[in-house]
Amino acid sequence: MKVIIEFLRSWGACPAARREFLERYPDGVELADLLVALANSGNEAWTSWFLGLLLVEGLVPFVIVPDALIKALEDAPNVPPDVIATLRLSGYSPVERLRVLAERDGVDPNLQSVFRDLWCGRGLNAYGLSEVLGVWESTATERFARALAEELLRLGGELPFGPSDPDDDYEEDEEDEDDEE
Amino acid sequence: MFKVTIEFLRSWYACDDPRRVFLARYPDGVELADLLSDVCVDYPGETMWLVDTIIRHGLLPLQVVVAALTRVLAGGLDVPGSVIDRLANRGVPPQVRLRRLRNNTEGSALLLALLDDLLDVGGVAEVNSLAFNLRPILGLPLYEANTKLALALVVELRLLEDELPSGPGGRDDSYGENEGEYDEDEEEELP
Repeated sequence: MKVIIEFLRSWGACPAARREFLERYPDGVELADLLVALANSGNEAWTSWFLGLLLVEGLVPFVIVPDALIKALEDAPNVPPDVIATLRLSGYSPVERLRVLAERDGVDPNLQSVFRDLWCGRGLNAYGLSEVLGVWESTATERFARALAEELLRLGGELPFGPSDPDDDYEEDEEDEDDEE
Repeated sequence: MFKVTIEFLRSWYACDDPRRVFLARYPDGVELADLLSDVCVDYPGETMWLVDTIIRHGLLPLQVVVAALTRVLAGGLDVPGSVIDRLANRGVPPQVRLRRLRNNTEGSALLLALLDDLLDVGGVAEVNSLAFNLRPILGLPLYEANTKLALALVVELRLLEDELPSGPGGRDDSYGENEGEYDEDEEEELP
């Protein structure tokens, strides 16, 4: 998905951000590349604004959010494995996974606040994530932005696969189907 | 914009027959909008599974889903204009629009059930198709209601094309004349 200057204008980006965008990307830029560039820029305010826009306004498929969160939490010291396992439950809708975790007893309240805000469409709770990761809020935001960009790249314009592994005995089944034909 | 491959169908448990037909017709995959449009015409019975899967599992941006729903409900029998206005209000995030409508007694019970479904309040145990709730609202048979939703998704997906959707400010406002000619005195403020 491409971001062009009209997009920034219509969503109310500030003049400075629009000017810089036009200088760097006169023909627009892929969303994932822009997210990575923002994360690398060290400009927390712009990164946070853009990330919030994507999440709150529902501009990206929500199914990539739990996976991005798993990536962002990779180095977190005390995230229980069952939390990660629940985030991975691709048979359940992503909203449902986050809702269950936000309401589960015994989960770190900071982590719960991250789940709750994402589930309720309030975007990334950078403070909560920073507490869980033990880093500054800016670092937490950058980390999540990078993770979301990775997931977007993984998507690569294709609808994401579901709970079963698409490669599982694929060859074998395809042959079967040919036989049936 | 969003491509569908045979692996997608397989991983989301499509039945054998649709998979076989898909492979024969689209060996290299197909754009979702084209697939939805083809399925509506040639295999209407398969549309419900596809529409439900892509909506329920968050595979599309919520903006697209809400825009399509608004388009469909605008033709509903007893849907108040105020409901359509609220759903169409791009100045409010889509999830908030759905939530506010759900909490608003203005909507009928059927509409509330539909919104519940979209917000996933019912959870995954609710296996009914979205079209079951949509059908009485539109006063149409089940498949027709679903087809209407599918075709609305096609329209919204084609509007999206390769670009992210523009916001409430609209994308054409004074563009061309002023963009790139920023006033030096323009306030340097953060977004």
